[in-house]
Amino acid sequence: MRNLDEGGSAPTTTSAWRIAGRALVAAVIVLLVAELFVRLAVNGPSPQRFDPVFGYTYIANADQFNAREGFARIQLNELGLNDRPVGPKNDRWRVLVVGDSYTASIQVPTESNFTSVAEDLDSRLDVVNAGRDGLFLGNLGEYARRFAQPLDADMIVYVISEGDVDDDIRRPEFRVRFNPRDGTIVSTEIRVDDRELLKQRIEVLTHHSALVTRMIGQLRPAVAQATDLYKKLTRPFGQQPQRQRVEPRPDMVTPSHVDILRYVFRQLRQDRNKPVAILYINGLKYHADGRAEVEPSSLDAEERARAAAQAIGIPFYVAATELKKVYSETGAPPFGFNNGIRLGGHLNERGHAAIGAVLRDLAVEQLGLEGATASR
Amino acid sequence: MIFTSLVFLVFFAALLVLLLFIRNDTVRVWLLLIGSYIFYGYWNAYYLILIFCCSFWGWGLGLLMYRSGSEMAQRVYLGLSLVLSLGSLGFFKYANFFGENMASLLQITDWEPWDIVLPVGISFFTFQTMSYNIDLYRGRIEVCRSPVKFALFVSFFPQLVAGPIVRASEFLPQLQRRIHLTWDNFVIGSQLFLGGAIQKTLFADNLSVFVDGVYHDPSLFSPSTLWLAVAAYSMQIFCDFAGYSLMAIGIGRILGFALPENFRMPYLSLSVTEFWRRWHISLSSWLRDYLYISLGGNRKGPTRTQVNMMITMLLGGLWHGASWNFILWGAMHGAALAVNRRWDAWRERRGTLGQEGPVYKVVAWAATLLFCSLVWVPFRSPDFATTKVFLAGLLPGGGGSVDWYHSYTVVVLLAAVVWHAAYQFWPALLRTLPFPPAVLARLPAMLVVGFAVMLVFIFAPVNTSPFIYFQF
Repeated sequence: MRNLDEGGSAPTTTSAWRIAGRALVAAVIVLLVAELFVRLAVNGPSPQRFDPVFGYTYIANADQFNAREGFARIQLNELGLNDRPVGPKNDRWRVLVVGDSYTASIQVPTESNFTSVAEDLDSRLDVVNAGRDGLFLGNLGEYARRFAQPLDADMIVYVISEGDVDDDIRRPEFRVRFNPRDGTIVSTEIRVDDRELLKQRIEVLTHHSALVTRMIGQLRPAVAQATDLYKKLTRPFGQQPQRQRVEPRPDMVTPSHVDILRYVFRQLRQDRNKPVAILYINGLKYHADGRAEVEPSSLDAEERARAAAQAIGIPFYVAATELKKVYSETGAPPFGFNNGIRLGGHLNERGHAAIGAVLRDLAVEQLGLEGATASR
Repeated sequence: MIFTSLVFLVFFAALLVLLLFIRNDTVRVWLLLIGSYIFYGYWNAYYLILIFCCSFWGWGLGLLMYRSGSEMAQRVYLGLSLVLSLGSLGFFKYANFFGENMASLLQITDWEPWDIVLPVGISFFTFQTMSYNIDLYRGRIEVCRSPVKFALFVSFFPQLVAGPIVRASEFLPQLQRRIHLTWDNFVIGSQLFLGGAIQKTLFADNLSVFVDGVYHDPSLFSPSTLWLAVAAYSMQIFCDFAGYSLMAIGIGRILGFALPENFRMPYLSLSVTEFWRRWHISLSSWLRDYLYISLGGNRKGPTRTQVNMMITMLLGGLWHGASWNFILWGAMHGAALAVNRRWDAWRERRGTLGQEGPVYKVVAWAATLLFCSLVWVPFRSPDFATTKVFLAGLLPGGGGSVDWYHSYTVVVLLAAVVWHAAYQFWPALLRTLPFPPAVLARLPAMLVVGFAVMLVFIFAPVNTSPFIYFQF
């Protein structure tokens, strides 16, 4: 038995080179098989490209495969959107739908997502899905601006949910500058997450390797732990961590949550003549007797978002009734998948069908077409 | 520190490097003790005082017991040691439970629970200290004169917070020898650690996504989903705990220590009695040796034997946590053991014990597995109401409308079936693991280990759940 105490940290025979060679061969085989396996059953190479404003956008015509929640192999269109190719309008009304992962809908086939459903329900509409997962609430307006004009959109619908209203504007990357005397907001600023900058450096790998893409996600907590540990170890003894935000002075008037929402929502208007609307997707709480109700926290966020939207005159729609109906009629929730969280998570095909109908109705109502029945 | 965290890996690597550089055995024991205290203090530095005190009274009273000539004095020292160990366990773990129940019994409405943080691993290190003092009193072990070595026995970090519960007779003699760090131990210990990590991250953590979701509100789910959750939790708790134990054994092995086996494929048992010989072996043998036998064991007639069994299992249930659900779980196992004993006695009288045919074995295995899986329901449920809803939902026509056949859960359960089948029918296949260094130098073994590492990286959930047994 070799003893590490006696200096042998590895086999010391002449066959060491041969063992190293075998290890190299084994590593190559393992990596190749793992790459193949991940592509078949877990995820594809990353379709994300670094963007200095939004952190990242999707690459045009890229493949998007995800088996973490739902199981869909998606072909992004020529604009890098999860939609069919965008052709001429042909006398249809073009509705641009902007939102985060609820809108991007990578969990279901493109044909089943709510923008496709709305389009299929009404031949007068050409609904374009401009969703991107993790898109920050404060970036929605800017993101819409990128597509609205080139696509000559007639209307923009912003899809938001509790996470956007509650969590987004509390993110450390988001800064609000305001007048401390009266709390008036002067400007807001969202900094691109450091992780995206880091990911940019290895884009060459993530665009070609599903395994590297998977590892980036898997090792994220370890990298965060390593960063924390490094900061702890390198901080002089007794020194407190640097504060991210300045504590408000007693005489300072700080803007309320609704004030910030109102400011952010104001950026959503693109063109005075073209309608915009907000569609809010509620989270549900389920009961054994077949009833579903809106989660109290979701309702609370909805009320704040509605107040902010109404204050600046943006029509505000909710999908609670239709989502609740899915559960009461089928006994199955409109959110969740067998391979993910079942009662929460993203919309499944039933949920998309319900939201698609709401989207169609609100578009018809806002565009002044006949047959509007949308619920506000 | 969780074994599968980066912080632990950095800590362990640093400790290993230090141990490699320092050859002096006394210094190595000190290093291991300091390392163990850092490991524990990383969670809560204040409770280092508790573990220090526990070590101090265990060692000091043991020494006094050894030096004392009279039986009476020895009894007093043993009694004092038990009072201190059980007292601290009782205060930190059960004070609020008893307070709450007393308040409810006496109808005291303004009772407020005390703000007590349960020290991680208290159930393990107090049991180790008690076993040392009891064994010393019974004359089964030699006294430990070194406070440093004794403190290391109580706080040895691989098994400090979730076992296996190590007896002084198993551990202290290992400190009398040189602490050898060998390449063989490193290779084998690392593979054991990897095996434990697979059980924990690939199996238990993926199952927890489904199990937690169902137990959050079982009334919503269909009977078939609830049955899947029964199977999933049975496998989750086994893989979580057996995985931790295996990682602990692996780390111990790397450091040159042999820790006892804690699980031996319990779901292959043909009876509840056998289940307890295979499940959490270090606890069940502890309860047998220090509680059941102390109560009289099977020496005082069949009725008393069954009462002793019941008391042991009730306390075993309570050991897991201060909750009536754990007591119910212990009581059900106690009752099953009593029935099992009667059944075996009846079969012995008929002369059929030991003559079991394949059909009997399959039925016995299925009945044992079903029983053990079902009694995990109260163990996992946060309260009686959830237990009731869950069990009622398992019946045909019961439960809610939501079907959830979590794909990872199904895959993991299928993998677990293959693993158990391999253990049962092709034991030689698993006996080749872990690979000794000479075998690991060959390509097939390298590929097996490589794929195992890759599976952990690909499928471990991003946010690792803490080990279930940390709370006990």
